[in-house]
Amino acid sequence: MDTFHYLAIGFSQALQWHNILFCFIGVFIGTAVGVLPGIGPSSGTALLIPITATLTSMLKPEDAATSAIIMLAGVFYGAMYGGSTTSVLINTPGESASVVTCLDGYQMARKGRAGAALAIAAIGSFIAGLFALIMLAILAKPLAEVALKFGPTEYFSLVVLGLAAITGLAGKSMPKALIMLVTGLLLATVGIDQVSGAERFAFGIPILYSGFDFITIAVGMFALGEVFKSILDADNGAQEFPKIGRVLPTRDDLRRSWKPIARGSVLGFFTGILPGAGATLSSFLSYTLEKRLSKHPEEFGKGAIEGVAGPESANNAAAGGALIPLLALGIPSSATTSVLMGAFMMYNVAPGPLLFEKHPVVAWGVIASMFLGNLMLLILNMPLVKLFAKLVEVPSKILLPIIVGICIFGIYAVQGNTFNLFIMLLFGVAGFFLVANDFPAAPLVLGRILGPMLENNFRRALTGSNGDYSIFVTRPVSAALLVVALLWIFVPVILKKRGKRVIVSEEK
Amino acid sequence: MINKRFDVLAGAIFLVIGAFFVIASRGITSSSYGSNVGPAVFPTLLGIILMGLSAIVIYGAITFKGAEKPKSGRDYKRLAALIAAIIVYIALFEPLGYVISTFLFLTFVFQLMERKKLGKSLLIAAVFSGVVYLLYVVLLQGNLPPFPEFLTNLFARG
Repeated sequence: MDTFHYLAIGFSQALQWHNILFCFIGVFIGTAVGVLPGIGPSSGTALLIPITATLTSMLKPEDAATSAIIMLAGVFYGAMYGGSTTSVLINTPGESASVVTCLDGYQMARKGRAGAALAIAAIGSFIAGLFALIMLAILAKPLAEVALKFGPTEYFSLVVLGLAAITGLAGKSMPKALIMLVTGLLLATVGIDQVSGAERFAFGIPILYSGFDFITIAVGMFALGEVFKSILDADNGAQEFPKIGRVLPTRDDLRRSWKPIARGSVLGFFTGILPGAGATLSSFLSYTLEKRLSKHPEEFGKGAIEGVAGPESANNAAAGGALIPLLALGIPSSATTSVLMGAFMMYNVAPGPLLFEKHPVVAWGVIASMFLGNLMLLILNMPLVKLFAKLVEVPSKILLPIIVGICIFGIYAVQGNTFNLFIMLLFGVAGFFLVANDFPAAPLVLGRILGPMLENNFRRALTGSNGDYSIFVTRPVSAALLVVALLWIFVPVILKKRGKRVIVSEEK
Repeated sequence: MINKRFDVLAGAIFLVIGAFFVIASRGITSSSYGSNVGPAVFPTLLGIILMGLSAIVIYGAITFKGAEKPKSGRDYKRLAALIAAIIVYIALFEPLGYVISTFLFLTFVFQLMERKKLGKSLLIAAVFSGVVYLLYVVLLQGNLPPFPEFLTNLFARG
């Protein structure tokens, strides 16, 4: 009953005409971001933050936050829809969660069934998106209420768990991923200390008092870094383009797909909640599961529609699931959700247990808008998919310079000085070389975002215990969270030592 | 496969960053007002952890026995040119104003990507810089560096 009441409030927000517009712009750009291979959901979201900031500047603060998050969340789940388009058409995933869609989707396209593949991907995504949303609406508030009982000690350990989870799955080398994480946490300490007011590591330089802003770092490392990488890989060869054909699945397609879609939705949703696992992993898991359950596994890799329906549903459900730890706990579980978290912070609306109490309009407005957004996406990705497919033909030699242009414009628009532009470039160049050598970018950005929260709870916990560090392990909930965090870091290391292949999430 | 030299170098840089934070933390005016734990504790701990992790990476790289990443024959010249162009772009951003600096930058980079179709490059660069400026500054009242003074003076007089 409670949930319905809140959802009604949410819909009254989401159905205001300007929010419908923001939602549409978000999912539209998200689909485009998903389709364009040079730009992923995290850099797309980061790039759009400055633009949303401008568009919402004439609204009241809380309305501005609602509208902005509605739009940015739209980019996030919209990209999950769009990503499948290029996987099917040119065997190139538009974002990493659609890698497995290439396997059977592209084979279907080669057999002249591109339309059916795209349609089932869109339908599966839609059903999975709705499922994840309903679960989100049911689960988020109770979870937030549990977290509200946490003291600073427990919260510190919870943040540690979140950081460990993303870092644990972030790259090929654990020490390297941890280095990036700790560097991000250190970057967060530069500037005026919020607790004591002391100046830290600014050395009297006024512009450093406010520290290194997350958006500057995120755009530099995600968007610019990706451009630098694509510049090296850019080949100017024209791609051959299969005909899309009829964008409707046959009755037989639907009969074969409904179970994979249902399984993918559930599997994806729960993988999405787990911090660090995310959409990419869920799509891999779903593909493996479908292949194992199938009566004709030999068809997989040769154009089995189950191999498209399952993973595409799973990655969308995971995107929805990933919003639960973000909204209810304030702990992002992927690169893109950490960028979303940064956006919340920019509007002084901290996600986390208090979100549902302090800003119910924002929280439920965003949730309600996602129902609307998924419906829009179904339309964008079924009848209009041919239009978006044209985007694939935009050559990277035009796209990449424009992305650099948007980076520069966006950061200047938010920060208003060229100092931050140089910082962005610095992080872009450093990020490019580091990522190329298995130092992952996501932990650094995440560290920068969660750093202040980690430090504040750390200090509050120690103040409560009179400086006794053992408080983190003597309080049971905190100790349990820390143990899970340690497992998350060390189990993959041990598995790797024993020669097991560990699926690495390389979401960017 | 790893690139040994890069790992050692990057490890060394992170080691220095860690050491820097540990040392610089000692200079923080440490009133522990409002908290038992002063503002220097957290960065000091992290700095020490970072130094330890860097040591692990350096050690791992030095003792690494497997195959090294093959040198890729990729087009680093183009990347270097792009980065140089961005530096010049940022430096000229405020002196020349948004429209002119962006137009010059985009034209250059389009040509860098493909040395043909100068007309098309000029056109897209002009449209992008002009449209962004119009939408953002004129329509949304945002703030971007305006045209340089000597130009606006010229028009004001004429």
